Amino acid sequence: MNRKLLEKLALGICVGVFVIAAWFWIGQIIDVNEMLDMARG
Amino acid sequence: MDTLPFFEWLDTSILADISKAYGGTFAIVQVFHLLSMVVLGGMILTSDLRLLGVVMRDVPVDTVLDNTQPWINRSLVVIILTGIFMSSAVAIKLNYNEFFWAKMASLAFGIFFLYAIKRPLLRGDLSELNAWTPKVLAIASLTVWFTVAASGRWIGFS
Repeated sequence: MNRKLLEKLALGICVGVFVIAAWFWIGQIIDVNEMLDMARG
Repeated sequence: MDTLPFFEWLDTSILADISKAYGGTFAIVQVFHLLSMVVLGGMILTSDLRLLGVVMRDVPVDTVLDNTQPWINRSLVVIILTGIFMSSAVAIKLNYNEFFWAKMASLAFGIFFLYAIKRPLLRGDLSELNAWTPKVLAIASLTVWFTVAASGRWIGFS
């Protein structure tokens, strides 16, 4: 594959990685906080 | 896709017989799994921190990437083989564990990202690329492998 095209593809994938990782980990932190709140009553 | 039949098969395989019956064997295999994770994590950190210009600035990026790659390859092979053995001991449980699937998805993506995107792009003259591209790749790589490691650890808590 053309290197410039691969570079653009790679940067697009990196943006996807950041968005999905943020969604996943923020979701987990919210879940853990809810579980801790429930455990505290 | 229903993955349960595969995990039911794994749960009754000879691997499961060994991993459930011989705790010592499981422990030894786990040691190699953890050691390989340490090697993989160390090599990923070394290569990505070099791309970010944090460590070993006096060593060319090519040299660091070329020297870490064989250890990444070896440790991935050991991690996958020992991981299959270890998962056979709790196969059915893992099928219903969301963090196991998060780990598998991020591991598969991490391998794709490394071999199909990062290595081919960084092989050759880096001056042809935007100056930020290797750094963005390094941060994305660290993010993916952190997710693999952390979701793997999270399996034990869930």
